[in-house]
Amino acid sequence: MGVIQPGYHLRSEYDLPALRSRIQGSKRRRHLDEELTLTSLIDIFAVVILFLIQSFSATGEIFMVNPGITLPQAQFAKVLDRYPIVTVQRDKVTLEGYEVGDNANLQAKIDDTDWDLPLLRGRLEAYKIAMQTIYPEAPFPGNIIIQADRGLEFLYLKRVLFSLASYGFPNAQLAVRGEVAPSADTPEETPQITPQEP
Amino acid sequence: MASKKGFQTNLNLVPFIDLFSTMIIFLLSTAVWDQLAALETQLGGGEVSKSSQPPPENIKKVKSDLRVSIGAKNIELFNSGKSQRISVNTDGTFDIEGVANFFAEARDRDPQKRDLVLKATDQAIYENIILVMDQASARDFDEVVVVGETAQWE
Repeated sequence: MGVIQPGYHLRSEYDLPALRSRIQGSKRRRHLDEELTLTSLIDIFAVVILFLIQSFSATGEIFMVNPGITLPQAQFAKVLDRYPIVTVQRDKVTLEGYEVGDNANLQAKIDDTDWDLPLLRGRLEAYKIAMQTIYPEAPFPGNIIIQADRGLEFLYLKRVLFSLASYGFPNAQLAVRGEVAPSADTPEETPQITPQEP
Repeated sequence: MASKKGFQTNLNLVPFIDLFSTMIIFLLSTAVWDQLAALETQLGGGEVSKSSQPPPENIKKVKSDLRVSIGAKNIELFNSGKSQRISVNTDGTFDIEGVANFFAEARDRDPQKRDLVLKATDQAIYENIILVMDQASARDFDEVVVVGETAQWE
């Protein structure tokens, strides 16, 4: 038995034809009609679509949370309706993004019984007049959304809450983070508009 | 011998990809990443006051036999003469199970009751108020009235 040159010796069960042909230096055959494998792409698309459908909300985004505010969590909250949004922070009070009050030295203001927020009152009165003009038959609901940081002391909220009550907005919806509880009531149909410039 | 011809067909995936792409774009553009909800509360008053004076909270009288008083250091729960005190830890946490049990007992005692008065001190943390209201909402006490610390129980 003569001496033979060692060559490709992978067993057939582990053979890789493409690798063998490359080692043996054969010319690569190019197939212009090769098809792109789309199965994995469609798998990813399907997963992404299922995730997005699961997190889909028909009501949309009611409002964007102020970046400086971390809303508290709740597990048994109700549906958030669209009403004017009052944001309470340690330094200021805003209505729909417009600054309507100053919270600096709040303790002194309380001692001086200076609780009134005239800018807030003006804008809310304009909103109320607009609502009553558009819906003269419907009673004014007096609803309002309040967003505040979870670490805020009640002192800051108290001023706004009681001012709102005196302006005719006694029904406050405290915005929280969390899904709506399944047993929550469906939102009532009330006319909603955003406040206008006074 | 007749040769076997394999049944070979390719599913046209282009419409699938078109549809999926359109759906992904639509769902991404309408996605709501912040799950927001609301806890409803009621405040006293109703008519617009022209006065610049603060609400007269020191003479406000609230009538309810189910009451919660939230402070910076502790939470007091009252129900028909029975009271319970829960301490607030230094990190702001407290025994939420105790509050839940309190509302569960109140619900067992009166299945029709919906009103609750929540009194908070100036130093009470907003998150604790929300947590208590959340537990009340879990037991369908959804007519929550919030008052200041100087409000008087009736």
